[in-house]
Amino acid sequence: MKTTPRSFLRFALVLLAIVILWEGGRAVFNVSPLVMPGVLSVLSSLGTALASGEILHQLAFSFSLIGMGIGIGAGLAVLALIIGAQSRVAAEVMGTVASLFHPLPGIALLPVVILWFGVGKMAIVVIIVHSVFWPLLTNLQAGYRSVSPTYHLVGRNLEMSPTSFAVRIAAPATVPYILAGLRIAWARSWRALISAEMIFGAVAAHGGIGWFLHTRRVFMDTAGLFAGILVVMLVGSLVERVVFGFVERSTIDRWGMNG
Amino acid sequence: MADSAEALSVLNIVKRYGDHLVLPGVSLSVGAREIVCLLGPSGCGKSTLAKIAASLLEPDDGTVRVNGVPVTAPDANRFMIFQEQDQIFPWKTALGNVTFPLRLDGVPDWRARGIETLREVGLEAAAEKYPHQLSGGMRQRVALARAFAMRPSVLIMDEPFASVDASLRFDLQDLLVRLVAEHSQAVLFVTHEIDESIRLAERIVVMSDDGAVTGEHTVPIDRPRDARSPVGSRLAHALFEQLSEHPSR
Ligand SMILES: Nc1ncnc2c1ncn2[C@@H]1O[C@H](COP(=O)(O)OP(=O)(O)OP(=O)(O)O)[C@@H](O)[C@H]1O
Ligand SMILES: [Mg+2]
Repeated sequence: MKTTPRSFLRFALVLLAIVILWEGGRAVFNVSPLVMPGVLSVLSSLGTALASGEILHQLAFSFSLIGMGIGIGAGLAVLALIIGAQSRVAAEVMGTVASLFHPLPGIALLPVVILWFGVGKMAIVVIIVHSVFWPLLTNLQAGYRSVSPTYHLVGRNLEMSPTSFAVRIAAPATVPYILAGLRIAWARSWRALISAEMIFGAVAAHGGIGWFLHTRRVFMDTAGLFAGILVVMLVGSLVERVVFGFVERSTIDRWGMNG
Repeated sequence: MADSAEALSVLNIVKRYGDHLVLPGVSLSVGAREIVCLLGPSGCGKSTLAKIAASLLEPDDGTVRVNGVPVTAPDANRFMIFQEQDQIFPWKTALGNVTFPLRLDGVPDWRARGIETLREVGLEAAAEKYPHQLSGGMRQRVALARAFAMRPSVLIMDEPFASVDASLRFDLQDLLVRLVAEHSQAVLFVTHEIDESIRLAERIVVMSDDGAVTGEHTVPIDRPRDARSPVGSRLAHALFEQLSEHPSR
């Protein structure tokens, strides 16, 4: 979706409505700030967490885990795609395995992962890899199958090696599928990461954003808790709209490949 | 009929799809500086034969020769323009598409040559546009420019002017004739338009519904040609008669 003045205005109006309802509800029902803190105290708590650098550190930590997970997951998915391209049987077996694992939420694997990898950074990365690998593999395979037979003819006519064809023709032709896969991968890994961090607690000197939420609840810092939720929402939609929006505008929108 | 030492020749090509015998043993040849049109009704096997001639499809029997040497693998010096509409890449600009094979081939002046070729097909203003911003006929000209820019010794063109208007088609036909003379290319040109074959071809090979070659005509008209000249009209009439004969199956 494009950020137009109109969509920005709509966004601002929705925010304003939420704030009015929130504050109105607090006043009318006389709710304790421990249950529903005031918007101002949430904002000031957010400001403190931002100013102290705490929340930024934790975000950075969370992103380093996601980056690692997506990197490993994407690498494995490409590897699996290449293996699948060599043998039909391998591709079919992988398709079946993917159809079993694809719907499995990463967090459901947590007990097993703890059993095998212990409680630590490694376990979270494994969960993220799981969240990234299957949707990406499924999309890459669908993309690979969708590469036009005419492109294969052109590639053969130009005497391209399989690698050259994969890089110069198959990869760009598959970009819509790659992006769709990455979108799902991001959404799943972001959710899995926060859940895992909340369950594990701090796995390093400073935890991630999930750990931030967890500690606010433990300290009954409700304003901080809502500040954390705000950050999770904002970061999630920022990545989806700004990062993916930008990548899509500069690739598939520009090429007219967005369906 | 087919001289095997010609630039391109196909000899006794047989091709089946399952039980369907598409090509029952077809031979034809194209010399350097020669345009041979393959004329035939829809579905008679022209594209099948063209892909076999480019070694992009394996025949069940028969051989393809380039300069008399049997070949089985495709090469960029025997360049095919496909009938399929999706042969250019949507992620590359018109210029990017045209220069793609040149850059693969390591042609040093690829950029200049790409721009020059786009100009020849009347697309210099569209060089930086992406295919989805171009009309069907413009996309077809991008595919044409991509092939012309490579200056292959053999060009195999499968109905390359199908979606351009009549006057542009005339210009592109003249361009093809000029380029063939300049670069001594051999061209196998697939079409189902009688007038087009008369304007372009040194020889016209007629295929019938059952995939057999039923006739071969040299075109005795000086260039630049007028397909409506008396000789052209007579030839057109003869070709029309030949194309309307339906073989008993
Ligand atoms: N991949 C395929 N599998 C099965 N049959 C095919 C295949 N490709 C072509 N055919 C059949 O072979 C015959 C010849 O097809 P071809 O595309 O060569 O015809 P054509 O002369 O190029 O027709 P047109 O002028 O419409 O392009 C047709 O009957 C078609 O149905
Ligand atoms: Mg055809």
